[in-house]
Amino acid sequence: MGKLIKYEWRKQRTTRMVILISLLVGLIAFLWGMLFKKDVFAAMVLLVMFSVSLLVLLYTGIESILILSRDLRTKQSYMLWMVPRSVWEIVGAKFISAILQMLFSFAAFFAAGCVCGAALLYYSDGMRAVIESVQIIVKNFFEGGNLVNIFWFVITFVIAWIEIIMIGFLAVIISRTVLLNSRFAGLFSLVLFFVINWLVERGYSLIHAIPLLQNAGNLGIWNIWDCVYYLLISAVLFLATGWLADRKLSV
Amino acid sequence: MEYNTGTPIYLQVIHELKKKMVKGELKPGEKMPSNRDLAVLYKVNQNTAARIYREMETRGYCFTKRGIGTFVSEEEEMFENLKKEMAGELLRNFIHEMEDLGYQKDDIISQIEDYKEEQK
Amino acid sequence: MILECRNLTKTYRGKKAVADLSLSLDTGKIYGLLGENGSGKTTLMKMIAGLAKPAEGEILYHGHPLEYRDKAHIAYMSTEPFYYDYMKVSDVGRYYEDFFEDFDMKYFQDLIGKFGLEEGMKAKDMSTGMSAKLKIAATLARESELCMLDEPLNGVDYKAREEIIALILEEADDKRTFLLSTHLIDEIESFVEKAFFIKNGELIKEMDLEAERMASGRSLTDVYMDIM
Repeated sequence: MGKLIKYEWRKQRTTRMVILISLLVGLIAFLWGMLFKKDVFAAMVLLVMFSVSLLVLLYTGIESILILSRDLRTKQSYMLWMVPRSVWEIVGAKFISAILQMLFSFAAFFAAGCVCGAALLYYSDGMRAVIESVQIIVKNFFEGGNLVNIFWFVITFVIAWIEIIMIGFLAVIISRTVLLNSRFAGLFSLVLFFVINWLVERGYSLIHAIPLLQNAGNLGIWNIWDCVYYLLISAVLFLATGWLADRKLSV
Repeated sequence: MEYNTGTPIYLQVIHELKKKMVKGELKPGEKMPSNRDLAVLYKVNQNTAARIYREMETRGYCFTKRGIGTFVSEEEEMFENLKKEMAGELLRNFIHEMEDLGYQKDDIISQIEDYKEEQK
Repeated sequence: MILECRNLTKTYRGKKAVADLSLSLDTGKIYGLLGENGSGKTTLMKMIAGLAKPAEGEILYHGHPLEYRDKAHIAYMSTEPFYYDYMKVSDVGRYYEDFFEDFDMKYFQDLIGKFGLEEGMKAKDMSTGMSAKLKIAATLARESELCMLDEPLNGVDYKAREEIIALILEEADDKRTFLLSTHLIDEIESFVEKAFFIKNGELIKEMDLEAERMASGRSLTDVYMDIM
């Protein structure tokens, strides 16, 4: 499995490079703006970096789905499917490397954000202010609900994202097995993606119709049952993907 | 080696090897190529190579030492017979073809003499 | 018997690429797979390699239904290049070493040298000839039980062709089985033991080459011209 992940991880290297380089360029521009007191420019850079980072995070989410689609459509698919590994390992490796890629993007943007924040504070109030504000942040973090809130926000985000990936994988596999390499397979998988998504949401509202579950265990944005629901759905989607690929997939 | 693809390949290789023995390119007692090398040398598969050595062994052209390899026969007599046999075969074909064209024995002999004369 | 295909059928876009095809392969032989373009040779090989799933019929490997673990012993080389765009020659070797236990890295490097390739060359930028050599080197460096080569002589010059044939003959001992497809019939005439003729996805004739020469004096080329 580790070796499969290694090669899947390698497939997304270009994206990582693009992220790192653009972050670096953004950071340099921002620092330059701070250094020479070009406040408007620096603010603009910050704004651009923020919106680009949102777009990039969105893209890293669907990139693994695009790679799977490419791994089925071109001759390069032989590379992946000729190795003596089960479908579960292959799809699993794709899934894990997608998570790793996401974490990487997160970490990169988080680090960039920290640098910007630190620079902002440093140039406005000097070094002492930085240390003080870090202390305040840390204090807030470990006091009361803030930490829990942040934790739940991250968990919710990761689960939602896992579900999206799983829906994407299943949509691609269905369109490549049922609509065998038809010219419209790409379009078909996009439509399927939304259809499955809609079905999952339907299931979600049905479950919420069960009175006992309403407002039970509410923690922040989602309640705990929502998380369980989406995790279960992700597992089911994964099983369906592997089962279908194992029986029907031809590259 | 150029093959006549209409006749069994293994027979053609045996013929070639016999010729090499008569011409002295394969000497009595000399180690012959391994199955693998023979296969590459004559562009045949290794099963055919094994078959070639099997056939040659039953006809006494060579012998196998277990685990060491195949060797050209050391019997002088066999070489003499082989040479005669191959010459006989050529002669038979030649005379058969000449007679087909209507030549008699004396005509054939004088044809040969004339030809040899011209070659000088 | 190493491999048995029973009534294989595969349909692509409503057209039968392989139709009710049955054949079996014995260990330690070299087989030829002959037929025109689009006759179903590649589809058949891909099904045996586990890359495509038959719609009907079954494939038995050493008597059991083909499964993913068998890919560890079956090597398949496609006609087209299939390595990832970023891969250099050395990356291809490492990839095979990572996934195939029967891969012999040293032999691969020997072959690369013999073919005049260099470790740092990029697979994507190679000429047709070089790319064909790289594929052959990687595939033959696996000591697989079953080795399927789809058009291994395509796109390479005469000298390389002879080298590739010599390599196959060297490797094809009594433990390994080879299945080759090619258009260059006279190139394989002298060493293929049995040929399968495929037309419109169907197996129309099996021919034991030496037996046919013995019985009727017909060569592979003669038979091909007759029935195709």
